[in-house]
Amino acid sequence: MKEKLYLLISEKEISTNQINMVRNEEIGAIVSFIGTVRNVNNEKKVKYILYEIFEDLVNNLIFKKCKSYFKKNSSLKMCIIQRKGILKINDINLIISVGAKHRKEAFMFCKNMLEFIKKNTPIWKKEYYMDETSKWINS
Amino acid sequence: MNIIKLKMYGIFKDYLEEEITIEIEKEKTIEHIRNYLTEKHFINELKFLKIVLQKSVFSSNNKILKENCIINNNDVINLLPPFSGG
Repeated sequence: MKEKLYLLISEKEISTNQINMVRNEEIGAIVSFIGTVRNVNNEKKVKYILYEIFEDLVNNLIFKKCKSYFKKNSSLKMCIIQRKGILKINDINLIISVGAKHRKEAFMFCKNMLEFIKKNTPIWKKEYYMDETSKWINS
Repeated sequence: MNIIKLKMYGIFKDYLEEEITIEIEKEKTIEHIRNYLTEKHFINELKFLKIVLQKSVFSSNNKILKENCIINNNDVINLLPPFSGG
């Protein structure tokens, strides 16, 4: 599993170089999602964002989900990097890169993993606004 | 009685201690912890947290717990508000 999945939760800024993790001679397509912090949400100007993460459980849930994906498609490779802590506007908060033999699987598993992370993993986002207010999203 | 440690995450940490200790009768479930919090902690100015609690889940030992999961003495349970990440 180690050679198929690169999973990292990072306090430091992340770059897109890590997508090289999903390249090898079997891979014919790489699809990447890159999430970044934008400056407006719900019509409010965002100053910065805090990401809080329950790391052990996130790692466990993503690991199990990837295992089920790799059972369906043994040549898949995934790189998932999630930021934690304080992020400023334009920072990259999430990278998901999927390498597969064909583009259809690459697109599908990238989308599926993104939706899984958003809906099913204990990651919380608190937005801090220019008007000095703040809000936990979805709470 | 069972002594349980409840660890708070997200919005709950803004309003409660990061970790609280509660006493709950033996053979009780996650559902009972939910009711306990509603009746004892999420009252008065914290009443709005009842709505968040309804949409929250609990976890322990790296697993999300079902509502009928029985709680044991000295369990450490995490209260996880609705997820918003990715």
